[in-house]
Amino acid sequence: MSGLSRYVVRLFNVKKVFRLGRHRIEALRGINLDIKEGEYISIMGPSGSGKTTLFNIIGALDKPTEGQVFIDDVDVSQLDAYELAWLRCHKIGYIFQTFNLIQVMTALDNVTLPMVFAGMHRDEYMEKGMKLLELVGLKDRAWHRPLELSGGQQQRVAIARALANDPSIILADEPTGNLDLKTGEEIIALLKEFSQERKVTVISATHDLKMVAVSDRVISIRDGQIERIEEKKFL
Amino acid sequence: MAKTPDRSIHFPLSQTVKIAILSLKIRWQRSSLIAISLVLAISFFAYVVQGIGICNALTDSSLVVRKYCSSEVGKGITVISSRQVWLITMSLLICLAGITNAQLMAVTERFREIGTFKCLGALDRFIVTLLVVETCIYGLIGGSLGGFLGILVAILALLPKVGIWASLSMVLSPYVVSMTLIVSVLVSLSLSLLGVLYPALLAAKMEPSVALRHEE
Ligand SMILES: Nc1ncnc2c1ncn2[C@@H]1O[C@H](COP(=O)(O)OP(=O)(O)OP(=O)(O)O)[C@@H](O)[C@H]1O
Ligand SMILES: [Mg+2]
Repeated sequence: MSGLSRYVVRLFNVKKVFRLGRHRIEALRGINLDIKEGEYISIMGPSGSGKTTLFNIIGALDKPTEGQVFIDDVDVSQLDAYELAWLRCHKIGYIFQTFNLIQVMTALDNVTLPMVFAGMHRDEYMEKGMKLLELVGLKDRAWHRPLELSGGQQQRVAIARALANDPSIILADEPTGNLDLKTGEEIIALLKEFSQERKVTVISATHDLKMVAVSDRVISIRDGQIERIEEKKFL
Repeated sequence: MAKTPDRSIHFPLSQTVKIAILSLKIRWQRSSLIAISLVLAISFFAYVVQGIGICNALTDSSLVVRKYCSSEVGKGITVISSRQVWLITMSLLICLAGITNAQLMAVTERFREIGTFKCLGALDRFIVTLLVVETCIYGLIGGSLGGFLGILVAILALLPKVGIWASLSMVLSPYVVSMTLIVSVLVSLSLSLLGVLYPALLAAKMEPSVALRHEE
């Protein structure tokens, strides 16, 4: 990587404390992290180590208790509701372990939804939606509901949806967690392909060693702190 | 960020209506439960309103009937009128509690979906609009069905009492029927909107991370 690469995500001393009655749960305890454009990052760690909490904070789905988060050099804490919605819509594509497709809508409707939120015209988003579904190999399933699709197919739809507004970051929380080995591999290959072709930064929480193998960096967290960061060349 | 967010953009209402109808269809069991409770409360309301309407129409139009009506039906109505007001109020209140409760459960079930909408760029406003549109559909269906049912029962119940003096056309006065229907639908709409207000605001205000943590 050249010294010129920009940082798409920067975290400064990010802490997150959950309060449950009298209990204080320190889910994140001072995370510092810089992620460059186009990087493929895996975040590993045991259950409860804070991966999902970190995912939510990088994705502007939750606010840190302390510290700062910059997405494309913008301090997320300074954004109002409109700007946050805009950021989520345009800058970040989300992929979840449980796919989180809108059950009542067809695959195509799911993929086009972010573009509708972005204010695109119907002709434009229908065409792009079909193109994206073709890209993930589901053109013939465009009119199917999520319940009529397999887990792997649902996750492909979710990937197409995440790419809808050409985000600079794809955030994935255990994207292969609910899939069998082979289907998981296909999903990983798809994500890797998009990250290389489209220069999308992929940040993924995972337990999957196949995922780790394609990563540029692997960040291990434990008890809300970064335990170590491994560059690909050392893996 | 190179571009600044365009604040004027909002989700097209036609899309919202489409999603609302799809949601109602998919969750038809809960939808019909809410609709049925509305239909029952509104039909009782319409029954009383229609009964009063018929009697007023009768007393206006014919002395013979007025005599009959004031002695039988009219008296009946004036005597129990405060009780009926009380009954209407109670039935509407119970219906309101039922709707709020059913909506609260329906919204809770959909927290994750709502969180997902927010991840894709939905504003709080979209969530509220979606739930309000869904509720208006309930309100319209429940109000008109309940209205029809109540009017039907009122006419069937009063026909034998006013007997041959009242012609069918008089009992079926289009003015009374349409007024009862309109009032029924309006009451039904405001009742359902009142019921959805709290759940909708609750859902819309929720942080996406919290919404996404909910099981489906
Ligand atoms: N909303 C919340 N309220 C209270 N505690 C929370 C909340 N979210 C997370 N936690 C706590 O924070 C810690 C980190 O949780 P997190 O979900 O980030 O773990 P994780 O690494 O994603 O685990 P897993 O691999 O099981 O998904 C846990 O102890 C969890 O109980
Ligand atoms: Mg997790």
